[in-house]
Amino acid sequence: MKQFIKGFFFFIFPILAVFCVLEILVRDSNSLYKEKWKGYTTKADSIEVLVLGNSHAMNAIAPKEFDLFTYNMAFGSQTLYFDKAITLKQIKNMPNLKYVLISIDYHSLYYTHNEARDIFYHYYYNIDYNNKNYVLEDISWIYALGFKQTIRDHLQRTKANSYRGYVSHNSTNWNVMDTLNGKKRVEQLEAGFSEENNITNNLNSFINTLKSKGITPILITLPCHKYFNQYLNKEVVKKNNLEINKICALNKIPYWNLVNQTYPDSLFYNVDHLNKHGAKKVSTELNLMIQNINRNL
Amino acid sequence: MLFNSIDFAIFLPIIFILYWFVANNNLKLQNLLITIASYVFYGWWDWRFLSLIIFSTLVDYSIGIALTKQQKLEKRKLLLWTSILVNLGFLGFFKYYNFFLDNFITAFSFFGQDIQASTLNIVLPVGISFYTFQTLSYSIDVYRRKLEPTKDFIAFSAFVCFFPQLVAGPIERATHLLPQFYNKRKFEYNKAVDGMRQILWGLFKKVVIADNCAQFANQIFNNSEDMNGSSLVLGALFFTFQIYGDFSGYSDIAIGTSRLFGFDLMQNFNFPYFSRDMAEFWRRWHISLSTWFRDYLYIPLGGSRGGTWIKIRNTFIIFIVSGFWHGANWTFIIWGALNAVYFLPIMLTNNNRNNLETVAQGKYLPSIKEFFSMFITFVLTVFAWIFFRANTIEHAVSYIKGFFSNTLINIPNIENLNKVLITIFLILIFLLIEWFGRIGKYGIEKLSISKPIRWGLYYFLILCIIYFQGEEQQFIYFQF
Repeated sequence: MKQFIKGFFFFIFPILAVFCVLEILVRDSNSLYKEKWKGYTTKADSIEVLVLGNSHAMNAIAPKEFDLFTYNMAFGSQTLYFDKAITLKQIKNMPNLKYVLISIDYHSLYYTHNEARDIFYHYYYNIDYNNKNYVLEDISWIYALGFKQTIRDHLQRTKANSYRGYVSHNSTNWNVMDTLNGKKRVEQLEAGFSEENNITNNLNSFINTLKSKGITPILITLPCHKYFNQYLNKEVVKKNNLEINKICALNKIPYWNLVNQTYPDSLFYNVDHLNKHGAKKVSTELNLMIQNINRNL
Repeated sequence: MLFNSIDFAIFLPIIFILYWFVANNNLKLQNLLITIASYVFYGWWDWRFLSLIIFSTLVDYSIGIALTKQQKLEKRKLLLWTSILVNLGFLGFFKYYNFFLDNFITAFSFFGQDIQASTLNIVLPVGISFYTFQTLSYSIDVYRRKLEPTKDFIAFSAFVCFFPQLVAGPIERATHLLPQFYNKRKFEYNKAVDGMRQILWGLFKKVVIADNCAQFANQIFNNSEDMNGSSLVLGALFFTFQIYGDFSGYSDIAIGTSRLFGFDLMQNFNFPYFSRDMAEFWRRWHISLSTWFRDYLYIPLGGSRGGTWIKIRNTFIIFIVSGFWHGANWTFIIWGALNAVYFLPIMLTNNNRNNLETVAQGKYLPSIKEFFSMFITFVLTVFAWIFFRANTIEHAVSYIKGFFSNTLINIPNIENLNKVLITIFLILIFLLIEWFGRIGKYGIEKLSISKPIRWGLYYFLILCIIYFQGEEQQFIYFQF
């Protein structure tokens, strides 16, 4: 038995050594989550406008176009659950926070979380979806992220060059700017729809918390291309509008719906994301709208 | 609990340590530990069905004892039939109830009689086809007086639910496995190392070959209407390697795990895709099931003795029953019948025992004749697997029709062609290792290479398992 155990450990030692090295490297590797959280926490006391939402908001709202100090904490596939958790986790450290822009898109009221991305909130933001336990994932990041993905993706991440959390697309990806991709994208979003009353309740409680601290929540819906908009389920859009208007009326907060703004193709990156030119335009408009509110206060 | 899961990776070392360090030198305690571990292993999937295993254990244990006390033939027969009815009753209910009901309704409506009956939403207990056959073998062998019935209930329970082979075999005979529970087990270094090696090879087959092939086989079979001819051929080939990698991989892990605990299980696969005729293929594919049917069905029916018609009848019975054992669907029955059609000419011309030795033994390459024999056997096998994999007979027929179009020479219209090429490359490596290791009991058992190269190969396999692992799929044979 001794010989067996000795031989076994001798055999697996190189594997364990490689594993440990990779584990250290992947924990130390760069990621956009890491970058955003670092900026968010170090600049917390300066933040006056906080941007939340999914990739629509992450790519569309450029903080440098705002007069007030703005930070973009939106992220791809980020749901309202995490929007709320991210804000509340740092709210004590943001004494100057005046406005929170919450992006509510076509699918926002139908997504609780994205299972594949939950782990990143645990690793980088220390936020666990529904207090999920991550014992094994904490022991090994490689186990959680997958060995292949670790080697292929996570170890090779260079700096994302985000500016106050905002990441831009430089130009239009003409290969995907057509009706077919619009239809595909809508189908992709609808495939993950789940009916959960908790999402709206959660949003209402989030708004209440913000208001109780003297912060103004603003619901926004960002522009998408007509190739995308034409395939949206009209019933869902109607239901969304009813729901959002109900929330806004109940809480007396503004809702800025920009989804049907007719922007030229050159301002889009793809059918539902703006590029940096589009971001500049929409951010300027949002800044003006915020200034208007600010003046009236 | 799946063999290729983190749960099993934690479970196995714990049981191994308890078995050799805590329960060592105490046979009863070791057997008890195996029984408890096996119940945990099975209950991990669904604890409710543990009651079935325990009930089956109690019935066959009691019948075994009763058979020793009973000398009258009629009463002995009655006891045997009780065991058969209980075991096959469970199997029949859980696996075939809806199938028979559907077919009766269809048959009656064909004759203008409408029957109102609703099917039940029955969950098939994992491994029921395997442990049922294992316990049946015990009762039949005791009835035939080939085996002394056991009075050791713990040993018998451990034999019925032995976790490495509980849910997907090999289907062990009581005469082979049960006595191993009576004898003191001693830790043997060589046996344990061999077990680890076989587990590694099994994991490679399952995680790298089967799971990668599954991704494409599923994509192609599920969308066969939209696939061109070349994709359909690839789909059939991918399924051929998926089912082999999946099932033989499971068997390798089961056998290897058993060896870690000092047990020897029977070989279940013996390089079946290097067979030169269908008779050889069936001596090398799912050996524990084929020999079970041979001993408990084919021979009692008269085997190959008797006239030509008896031989034909018995061959069809055994292949069709074997097909039906795999699942309650006409596709499995056609698959069985097709194999009977392949096998019959060889048997009727007395050529079924021509290729008993390993192909091209002592040579690097097969002769041209051997190569063509292997190729034809392989093609026939691939063709039969289409029925096995298809959802319905109509699906299989339309799939086969798709071959015969001018799109057969087109580039396959499958998503992710790069990954398809990587998978084909991995299959080629796998076949190469199997070819050079074909004199052993599994691919890497007897590779005549020096230790550093052998270790290099092990590290390579581990790297493949980690890097090229496909999307996790449940073992195919769990559903049987």
